[in-house]
Amino acid sequence: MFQPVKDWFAQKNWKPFPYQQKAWKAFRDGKSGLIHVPTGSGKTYAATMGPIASMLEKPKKGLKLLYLTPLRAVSRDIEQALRLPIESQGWPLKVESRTGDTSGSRKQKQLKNPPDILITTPESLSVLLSREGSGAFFSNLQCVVVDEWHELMGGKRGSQTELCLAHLRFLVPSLRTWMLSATIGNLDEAASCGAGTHGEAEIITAKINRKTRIQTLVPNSLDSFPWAGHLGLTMLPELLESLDRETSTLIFTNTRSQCERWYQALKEACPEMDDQLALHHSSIDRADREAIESRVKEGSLKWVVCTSSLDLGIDFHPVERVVQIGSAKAVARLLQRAGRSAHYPEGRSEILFVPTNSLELAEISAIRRVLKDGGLEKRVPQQKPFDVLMQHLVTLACGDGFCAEAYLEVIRSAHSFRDLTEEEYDWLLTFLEKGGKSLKAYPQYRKLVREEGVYKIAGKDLARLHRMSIGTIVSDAEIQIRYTNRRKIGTIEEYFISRLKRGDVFVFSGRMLEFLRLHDMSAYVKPAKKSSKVVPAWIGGRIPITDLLSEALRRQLNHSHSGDKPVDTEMKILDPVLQTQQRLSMIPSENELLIEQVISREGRHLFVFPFEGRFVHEGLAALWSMRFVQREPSTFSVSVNDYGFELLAPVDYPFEEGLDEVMAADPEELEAQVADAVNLSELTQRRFRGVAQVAGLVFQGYPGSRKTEKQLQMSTSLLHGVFEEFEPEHLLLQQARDEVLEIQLEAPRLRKSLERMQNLNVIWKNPPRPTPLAFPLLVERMSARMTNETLMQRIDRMKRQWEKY
Amino acid sequence: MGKILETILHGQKIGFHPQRVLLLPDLDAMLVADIHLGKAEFMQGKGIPLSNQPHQKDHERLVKLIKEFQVKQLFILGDLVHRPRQNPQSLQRLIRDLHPLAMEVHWIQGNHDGDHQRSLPDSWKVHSNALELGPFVLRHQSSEEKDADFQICGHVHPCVKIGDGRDKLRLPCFALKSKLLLLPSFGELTGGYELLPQEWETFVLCLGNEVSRLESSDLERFKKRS
Repeated sequence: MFQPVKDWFAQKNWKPFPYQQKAWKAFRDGKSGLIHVPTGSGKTYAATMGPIASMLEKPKKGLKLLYLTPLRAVSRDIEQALRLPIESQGWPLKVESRTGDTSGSRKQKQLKNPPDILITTPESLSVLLSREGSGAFFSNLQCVVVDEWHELMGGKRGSQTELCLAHLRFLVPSLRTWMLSATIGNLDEAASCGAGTHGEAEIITAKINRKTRIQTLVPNSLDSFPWAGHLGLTMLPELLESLDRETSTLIFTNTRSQCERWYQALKEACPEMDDQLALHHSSIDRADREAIESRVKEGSLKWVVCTSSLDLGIDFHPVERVVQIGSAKAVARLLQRAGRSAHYPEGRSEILFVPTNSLELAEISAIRRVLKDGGLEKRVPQQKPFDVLMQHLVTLACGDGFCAEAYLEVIRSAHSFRDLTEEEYDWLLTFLEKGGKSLKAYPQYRKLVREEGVYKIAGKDLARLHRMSIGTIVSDAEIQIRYTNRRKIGTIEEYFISRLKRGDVFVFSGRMLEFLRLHDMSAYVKPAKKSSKVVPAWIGGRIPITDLLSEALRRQLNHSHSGDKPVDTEMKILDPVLQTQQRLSMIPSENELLIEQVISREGRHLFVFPFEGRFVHEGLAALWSMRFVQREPSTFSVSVNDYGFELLAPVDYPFEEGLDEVMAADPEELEAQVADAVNLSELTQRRFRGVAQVAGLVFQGYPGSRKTEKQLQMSTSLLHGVFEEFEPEHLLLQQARDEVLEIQLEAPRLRKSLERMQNLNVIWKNPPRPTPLAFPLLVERMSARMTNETLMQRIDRMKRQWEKY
Repeated sequence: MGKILETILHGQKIGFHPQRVLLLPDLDAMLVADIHLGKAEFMQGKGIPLSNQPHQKDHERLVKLIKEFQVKQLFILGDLVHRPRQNPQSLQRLIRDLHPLAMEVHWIQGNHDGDHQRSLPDSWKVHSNALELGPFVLRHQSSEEKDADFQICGHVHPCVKIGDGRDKLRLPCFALKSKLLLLPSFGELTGGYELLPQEWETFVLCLGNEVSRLESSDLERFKKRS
């Protein structure tokens, strides 16, 4: 059966890897599962040649292979890769793509006369399922391949994909589904998500010799090295020395603001590189981004400063070098980025790490250690996101409809929804059919109707609206940036724009822009004559170091604590810093919790170093300050980073007296206490915006939308308020709250950290001045004030503050 | 039902009520704007499960206010209903429940009301544009005309944001400047439009049980600080 494929491999002078052959056979044997091998090892052919061989052996009409990619830009690369053997061997197979960019007439043709192989995105697959007759369209489907599964799995797009796969399996019980990935730590779970909970999942891995070499750019002098400043450009001269003007290089930064700053700095330092230098991040307009991507492919751009927007697997063959500015904060992310160079089997990935503060050297050393042990971060699938399920059920109702009784088991076969209860399912159906429990409250409600046990959409207008809003990627209220001729440049967050006055200049997309006015969710700008250093900040820019990495980091520091020789270059460079830390205070071992108290002109600082990542520290800091304040009222300023947190109080605050009480945590009550400490209801309200969008309760504006649709736009905070008052047990409210706790505050990790901290020896130090560990916290202080006051109290307090003038 | 802030405006006693109505005690009059009855039902028809219970609450709140202040004249400054040509049940109920209270109702038509003829009792007067009341002109949308009289209007659903960053609140308010007073929207389901402080002189924030008066300069100053 595989002979035609083997012939083609032979003709190319390739030898199939054993794992590829294993994957082909597994497909032939009707299995589903996961293929997990390093980037650029030929996963695409491993997954597709089985189905292709079967198509060649027994030709059949209709769509046989569906290939899903998370990025529509990737679909062109996949299409080319599959066309290669088909055209060279003259196989009678048709490959086509179907994404948001595909023309309407082409899409129509595909429906009437489907290709053998269709490449598409999860969202476009959902849209296909929302058409009547989709059951017939997919009736000959043999296999679904999902590329870059790690990118989808941990989020709502993953749950959406799982539900679509479950539905396709329901339509075609013999369907095989294969997930592809390079960087997942929890293979079993990843495979089970892909294969569904009712089948058995095969895991195919390979020992492919893919070396990742991490080099660190060594600062010329450690003295001049800043303690903090994630945007610090101090290393620019060293970076320039090591960059080659002829080598195509991706320069990764962690945040969009950092990306803008480094781009500016490089442009100023090397004006002659101007037309070979670009920047790429997710707020830049799509057309501009795509232009940059294609110029990278051609090789006409040499240096691209980018963010995670270029993490995914677009095949940039010309990319020879990857630079990472600042710590990547996760092993998988570093591997993914390193893999962007050398995108071919047996190639060596290389990444040059540019530290932006000295302690990041320890992080890179920790990453190296984890890589050596073969560790990788887990991707945790979402737990029954009701908003995604609601959207999916409406999608099906727009298409062929679904039968309530039979469909629960289908939903449960998707890993994310395996625990969906009958009560929850009934609740969702009631909600979709009637608007809510109290019929009196929703007399005019129409969404789904039941006809002979089958749920269908209640009207064509509703189906049209729904199709337009399929998808789970939600954006905050963002402001478009446009030139006065209305040309779009990108998007920016409202709160940044709200601080600008007419005539203010800021840097965006590498340009100096002068702000003119704000009108209809667009900020109008013109090219500025003056220059500026103001770079917009985007919310949510900072990512915490992962669980896996924070543990390794503690181990690395422990190692240096034990007085052994530094394990690698990074730790060696860092050694003088650690010596200073040791002299002023100490370096905590793995079973110690270091707490430092320092008195300064600002007041009394308490520095605590659990090394658990910034989200956990935010939760801990909120919790501790609440408990301290309950004991002895005061006002705290809070600062957090990946290593620890700082509480700043008036100079006479008795931290030491209250410590035991504050530390005595009851993990049972943790959730309630965190909820008190962080103003959960406000966070939930913000989170609810995304949930409501996915669930189809609000509509985002559409370009060129008709006026009637504008009238459907409603603020989610209004909806949130109404639900909270009249339907407090609403599942979507519950979900928003769970998302805040589980995702935003990382409550499970916080709980684990608290448990760990209970068993640590507390080491209390009173250093004469801030230590190397404490200094970054001083510098990076962000003010997060505690509040549990009533509305009136807050207003009074704000007024008192004004009166001080 | 809440503490009222009383003041004299153009020789006329007025009271800002935290439940988002304006009282003119000397005329036994109450002014209310932008109730938007029928919005929930309209949304429901489009598949959005917005409960109509808030409309019911609005209704009860309005009737209670009328009874409490023994209002003899009710002025509705437009957008009583959400959609032109809509005749929601909640409107019928309001007409029915106001009837025994024996008062005049003046409905100034707003852009959402449309000019559709709904059957109304004799005690209801519909005004298509503006209406004079004492020293004031009542309108739905304010007029830009120079030398115009002092206007009291609705339409905008005014709100102000106070505070900044993580510590902020958005509150419905009355907004006042030299020749214009804006009423907050009465309906719970109406949302709000954030005003720019520098364009106004004084705000009266509605805090549920009480109102709080703020000068625009206070807000400006606070913003600059943070």
